[in-house]
This record gives sequence, C-alpha cells and structure tokens, in this order.
Amino acid sequence: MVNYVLAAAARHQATAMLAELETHTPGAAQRLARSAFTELQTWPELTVDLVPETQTGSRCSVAGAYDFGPPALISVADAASPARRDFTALHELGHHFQKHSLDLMEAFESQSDGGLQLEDAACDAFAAEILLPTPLVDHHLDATGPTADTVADLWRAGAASRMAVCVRAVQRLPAPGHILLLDGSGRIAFAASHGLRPLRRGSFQGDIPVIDRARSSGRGRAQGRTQVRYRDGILGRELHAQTAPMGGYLVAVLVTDSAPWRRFTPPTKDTGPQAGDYLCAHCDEEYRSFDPACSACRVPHCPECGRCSCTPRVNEHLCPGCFIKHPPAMFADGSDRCLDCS
Amino acid sequence: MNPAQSSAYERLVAAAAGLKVPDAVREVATAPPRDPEPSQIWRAVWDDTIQLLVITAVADDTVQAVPVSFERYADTDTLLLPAGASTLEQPLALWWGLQLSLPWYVLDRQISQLTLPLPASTGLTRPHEVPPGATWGSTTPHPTAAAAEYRAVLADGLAELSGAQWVPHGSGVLPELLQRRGITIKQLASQLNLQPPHALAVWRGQAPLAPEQAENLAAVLGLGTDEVLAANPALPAPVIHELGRPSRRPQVRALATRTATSEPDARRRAAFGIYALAARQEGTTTDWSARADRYFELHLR
Ligand SMILES: [Zn+2]
Ligand SMILES: [Zn+2]
Ligand SMILES: [Zn+2]
Ligand SMILES: [Zn+2]
Repeated sequence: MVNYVLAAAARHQATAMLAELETHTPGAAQRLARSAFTELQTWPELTVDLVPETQTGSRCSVAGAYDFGPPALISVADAASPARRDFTALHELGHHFQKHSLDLMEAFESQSDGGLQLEDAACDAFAAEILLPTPLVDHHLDATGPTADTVADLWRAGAASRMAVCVRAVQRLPAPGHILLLDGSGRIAFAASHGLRPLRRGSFQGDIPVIDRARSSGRGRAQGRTQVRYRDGILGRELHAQTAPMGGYLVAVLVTDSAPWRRFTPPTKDTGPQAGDYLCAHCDEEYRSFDPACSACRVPHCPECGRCSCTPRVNEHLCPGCFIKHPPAMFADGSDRCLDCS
Repeated sequence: MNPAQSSAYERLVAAAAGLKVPDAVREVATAPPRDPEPSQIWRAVWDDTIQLLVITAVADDTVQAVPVSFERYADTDTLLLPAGASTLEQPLALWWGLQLSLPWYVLDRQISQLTLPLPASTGLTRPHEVPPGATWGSTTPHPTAAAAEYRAVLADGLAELSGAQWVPHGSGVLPELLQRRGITIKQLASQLNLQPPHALAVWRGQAPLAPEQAENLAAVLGLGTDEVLAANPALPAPVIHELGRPSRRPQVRALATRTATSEPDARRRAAFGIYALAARQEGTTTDWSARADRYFELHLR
C-alpha cells in the first residue's frame, strides 16, 4: 500500500539529497544521469561492484546492496537493461548519502520505524529525480502539455526508460487522454492513461486511423482524430492523436481536447461506449455497467469496490525497476517488480 | 587440545589420507558444506574441541548427535558398527548413551555417511533393534577404567559443543530508551564519538553497544551500565539460523581472518552487518539468505 505521506516526505528528502550531491560533487547529477554506474566507479570513497545477476544466487532476489563499511560498498546486479542497473546504483547511492549525513538523518527521527521505510523510499525518489529531473521535464514539456515529439525528445534527453517518460508525460496532459507506447506490430507495449478508461497492454491498435497512417508512412509521424480500441473491439470516444517514432517504438499522445499540437481543439464528441465493459482502475475488476457515469471521469462506479476512476488509487505500488506506480495486476505474486521489468 | 579427541581425528585423517581413500569420503569431505541430515557423520569444532559425531535427528537450529570413535574403547551403551556400515570403511563405535542436542553452528564438515539405517531412538533410550551386523559393546576388550575415562572425555567434549554460544542476548529496547530521553542521532554520534552511519545503526537498534559505550551512555540515560547493555539489539531468528548453517562457516572463518578477530566475533559482526544491510529486494518477505550472500560477497571480495 502506498503511503502518500511517506511519498511526500520521500520527495522532500530526495530534494535535500540532491542538494547534498551538488555540494559534494558539483555537476555529478548530470554525469550520474548519463551513466550512474560509470560515474560512481570514479568516486574514491565508494567501492562499486557489478555482480552478474546469475551470481547473486539462484533466488537472485537482491538487486543491489549498500554496506556503509568502512569502506563503503555498493553492489549492483547486472540487469538486462542498463536503465534498471543504473537505477539500482542510484538507489544505493541514496543510502550512502543518507547514512553519512547527520542532517539528512533528522527526517528519520519522527518516523515510527526509525526511518527505515523513508530512507528506502527517498532512495527511489532520489534516483528518479536524477534520471528524469523536474527541470528537464519542464524544459521538454511546456505548459501546453506534451506532444508526441516532445515526449520522444524527453526520452532522448534523459536516462530514463520509455515507460518512465510516458508516465511523467501523462501527468502533464491538459485533458483526459492516453500516452501509448506501441511496438512494431502496432500492439500496446505500455499505456499510461489520465481520466479515461485505461487500455490494456498487448491490445492491437495498429489499424486505427492515425496509428495506421503513422505506421504505413514509414516515418512514424501522423496526426488527426481516432478512437482507440478497448476489449472485444469496442471503440472509445474520439480523440485527438499525434504520433512520433521513439527508438524502435511509436509514441502516441491522445487527448479529448486542448491538444498541445493544435492552436485550438474543441472537445471531441463522446462517442464511446455508454454502457459496456469497464476495467476498474482500483481493484482491476472487469465489470459491465449501465449506471450513469461519473461526471468528472466518465466511468460508472465499480460494483466490486464502489469507486470510479476519480478516487485516488491506494493500492497501486511503485515498481523499483521502472519507478512507475502500477496497478496490482502489473505484479506477479510475491514480486515487487512490475511485469515489464521482471 | 584433548589428546583422546585429537587422536581420534588424526586417525580419521590418516584413514582418509591412507592407502585406500574411500571415494565417498573424499567426495563428501571436499564438497561445499550443506545443511546436516540424519545418518551423516560430521566433524564438530568449537574453540579447542574437535569431535566426530553421527547425526541422529535434525531440528531447525539444532541436531541430535552421538559421538563416534574408531572402535578402540566401548561400553555397554556403545553401538559397534561393522566396517561396511559407513563410507569410512572402518569399524565405528557410536556412544549412544552420550546423545545430546548441539547447535548447527558447531558443525564443521561432513566426513562420511552411514550406509545402514540408524535405529529409531528417542532421547537417551537405547534402541531395541540394531542394524544388521551391529552389536552393543561390552567392557571386555579393555579395562573398565580406560573405557570410562574415554567416555568421560567424550562427554566433556560434547557438553562443550552443546553449550557453544555466539548469539548476543539483548532485549532490543535501546532505541526506545534513546527516544524516550529525546536523544537524537546527532547527539548519539557526538556522545559516543561514532561515525554517522554507525550512530544511525545504534539509534535504530541495528548495531550493538560495546561495554565501554554502554557505560558512557548509562551516565547520560541515568541507568546502570548493565541495564543499557541488556537493551542491546536482538538479532532476528532467521539471521541466527542463516549464520549457523555449515555453508556459512568457511565465510565466517574467512571474515575472522580478514578482521583479525575470533570466529564468534566475526559471526556477530556478520550477523549485525546482514541485519543492517540496505538491500534492494524483490517480494515482500526478507530473503535473509540472499542478504547473507550479498554481505559476504561485499566483505570477502
Ligand atoms: Zn534500498
Ligand atoms: Zn469519477
Ligand atoms: Zn473497483
Ligand atoms: Zn516496472
């Protein structure tokens, strides 16, 4: 269960850690963002080891570790993706800072567990902030919101995974919509939604109008209006859509109105399913409802948990691999890594 | 070292290094140590005590074991096994009457394996049925006094092993004591002259206070030194178990060599190190085994 107070305290702690980092080694944040592992290996006060993932035991359940020593030791399991490996290295660096600064430790004193959870959550927040710093996000995604190109630019500029970039971007959509990451076959590799019924991973969208044009043009660029496809071929409401290529994938930004790439976009008509199948954003119950939809999120209340899409999701869980909060369905039993990362 | 015990061990070494080294002996004695199982013959070592044992039963952190010797002395409570009863290919004497419970962490290396099923037995009761070819000893081959003396030596050694201790016994209330008196991590660091990471570990109850540190802190807390020492952290049971596994012993020994400390000190150091290790882990339950692996990887690199 995500503790929102803890998450806020962790972000606050991460800000203080970044300040400490800048004092400690000016300019290191940028180098860490490019390659955390390589940069940390040059730090004389730290011994950083890359441990082959197979060597960490058959369980392989420990992705990284920090021992304050002396000497201070960091070990990082060599993950398939460099992004994941660097995230782990940065997380462990977060422990190093927090365990060596009496000022940073003050935040632990008000915690009932001595700050164990806060320390760890702050390590994640610290790593996330280095990989996708707020100023970098601000620089690429301006006040009008993300376009397909600016999302792709943000990915190229940062060190974070495509998924992490999509999640950051969807937070800045000016209207209900989706940011989709589509693979070469036109299936959803990852979808981040805001205010609309979420789309399923793996669902085929390759033949819906704008996506189809983007794929057949060979350049990956198209814009226009389209409906996305839900389960059983049910089409959602019409959305303004724009696509761009993103490192072998296609990124698509879809919104109901205020499309950032247009001077003026009137709201599209809600032609989506008025009665039909829904996937609860909270408990992942699939349900059919003819009830009047919530006026804000346009999703009727879930018969299982009674909530619509507006209610904050309390049971989503931060994946330490991609630092994205995912619904429970994205985690296999007993794993704290999401299906995309495991 | 006790001459009677060392000679038994030396005879074993001689047997293993002799003209015909049973392949099975070489195999188990050179394999990485595994968790104990009944019917295995182990060498147990603690301080200066060395003893060969047959394991009769295994529990979570302890084994039931009887001392084993090469049939030279015996008494009426000694089960004599023929040479074919174990991979040692030597006649063995199992001192059944001396069966005792021992902690896993005294087990050092598996030497051999019985090839005959052991008689079922509970506690010290002498089993009615014995394996084929086995007999109960008598006092005839040697004078009673010599056998009794040998028996006493084995009993002492076993008592030594049975009482071996390394686990610190703290109540774990130190963090509470510190917080009740409003002692911050900063104050703790300056009072005890500790580096920040160490001060944090003590404040969180992840690192123990040494007696001098407890004395220093006792004055500040208005308590007795003994009271403060008694509040030292308690180690989680799975950590204690993990460090008692025979597979950890070579790692603990290597750590003792590196840190120039005794084996129990090195074990305590590793235990608190594993306890306080910040490890990124999958799943919701703590995998102490993986953490121990990682700790030793870090410290024996
Ligand atoms: Zn951590
Ligand atoms: Zn709603
Ligand atoms: Zn629900
Ligand atoms: Zn993930």
